[in-house]
Amino acid sequence: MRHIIVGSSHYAQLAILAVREADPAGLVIVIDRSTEAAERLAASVGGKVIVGDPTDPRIHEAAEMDKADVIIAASDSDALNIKVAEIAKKTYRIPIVITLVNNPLNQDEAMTRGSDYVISPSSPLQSHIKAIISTDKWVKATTPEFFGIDLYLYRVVKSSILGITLSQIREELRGYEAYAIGLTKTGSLIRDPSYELREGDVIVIVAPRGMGEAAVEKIRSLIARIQRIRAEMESRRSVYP
Amino acid sequence: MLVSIIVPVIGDVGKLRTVLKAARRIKKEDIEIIVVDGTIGGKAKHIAKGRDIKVIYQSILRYPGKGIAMRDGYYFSEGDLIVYLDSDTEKADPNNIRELYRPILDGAADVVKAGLSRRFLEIEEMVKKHIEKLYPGLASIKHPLSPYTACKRKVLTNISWEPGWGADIALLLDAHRAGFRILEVDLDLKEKSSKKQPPHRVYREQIIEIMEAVLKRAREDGKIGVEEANKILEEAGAVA
Repeated sequence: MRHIIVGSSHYAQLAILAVREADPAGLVIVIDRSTEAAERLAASVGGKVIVGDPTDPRIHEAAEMDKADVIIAASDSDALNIKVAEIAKKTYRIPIVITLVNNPLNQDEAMTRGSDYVISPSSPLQSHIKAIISTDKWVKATTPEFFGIDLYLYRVVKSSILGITLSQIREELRGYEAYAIGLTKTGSLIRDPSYELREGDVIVIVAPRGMGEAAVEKIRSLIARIQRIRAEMESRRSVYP
Repeated sequence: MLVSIIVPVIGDVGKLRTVLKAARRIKKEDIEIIVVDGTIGGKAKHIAKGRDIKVIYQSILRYPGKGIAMRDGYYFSEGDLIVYLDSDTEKADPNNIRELYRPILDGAADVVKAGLSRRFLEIEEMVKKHIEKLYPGLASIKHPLSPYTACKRKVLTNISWEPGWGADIALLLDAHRAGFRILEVDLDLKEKSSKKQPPHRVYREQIIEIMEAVLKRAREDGKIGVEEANKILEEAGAVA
């Protein structure tokens, strides 16, 4: 296969190694404005170098863009990556166009302009931080767009849903396009639906893209309901000791 | 001819609404307006929304990131003529903006600089002093650090972009080094007395970044040695 890598950013260096591993015999072409950077990057996988502006048609011709199977726009400018991807798709009809966005807010623009796949390497940063700090909140995990799934995670803590069973959660999700699985604090899959959740266990909700939030909302209302009932029981107990 | 008006927004949105309103009122040329949103949380996007304005988020949210935003805007644009405006322009009006790029339409220049930025006044004096010595061809430019620049698209293919505060001076110097014709027009785009000087530490960082951009080029051109460049940089930091 013929692969074109545009740019020589930090991420381009990782991307080119992935390409080489996935296709050991493929031709890899690096396009960059800097001769030195392009040569160093290409040399790491025995690739070819084209130096120049990646939006210039003369450079496209030199790189034989019309024959490429894959292009990865991986410079450190999202604007450039989006533009190159648009040209690759609309002018040269390259079958696989991958755009790297450094700023996750540019993902939609990249998709709209014709990229087949958009990768935002910094996206997991936010969800990871939230997952570490907010133990009592649902965290939406970032998955590549093409998987088409929503993945929500919740770490059980004392104040929330101790004692609730997986079957209660699954029952609550009946009629929703979502499924719940549980993992113990030590990372084992919870197979027994009647297992009562303990501190440190993790609930995972898997749903088709766009449907996860509704399922999570449903679980939130279940938790609120159970907490209300527990509070009522607690207050009755204090009235009638 | 398509004119791309690029407004980098770094830090806060300033007078962005006024600038966009003025740019949209230009009717004599085909205009493309691009906002490069470098704010945290995409505040500029909200202002530009629904106004037929293209918005791209700054690739790397490094502050100041002025050059990152300018470069993103250039890559995102389609115009043959590129105009950079400051998002904090208090006196933006369509005539003023048009006067900035008119010399290029008239064939009188490839690059036009304009305006006065109070913020850089003292830095500007220092930079001018060195530029007069290192690049005498630019001695007539009164405001080399002005954020208001118009240029032909081909000028920007010759720029070695500086990521931060050195971006405006780098554009001017690289255009000069590549042999483009540079002109300065006297436009009153920013309220002269309204800008407060930034805190001392920030001010010092700005001076250092700007002087580094100048000295790097002077060294590349063999106009100055490493020792002299370091001495000038030290003096610049001390002045701040």
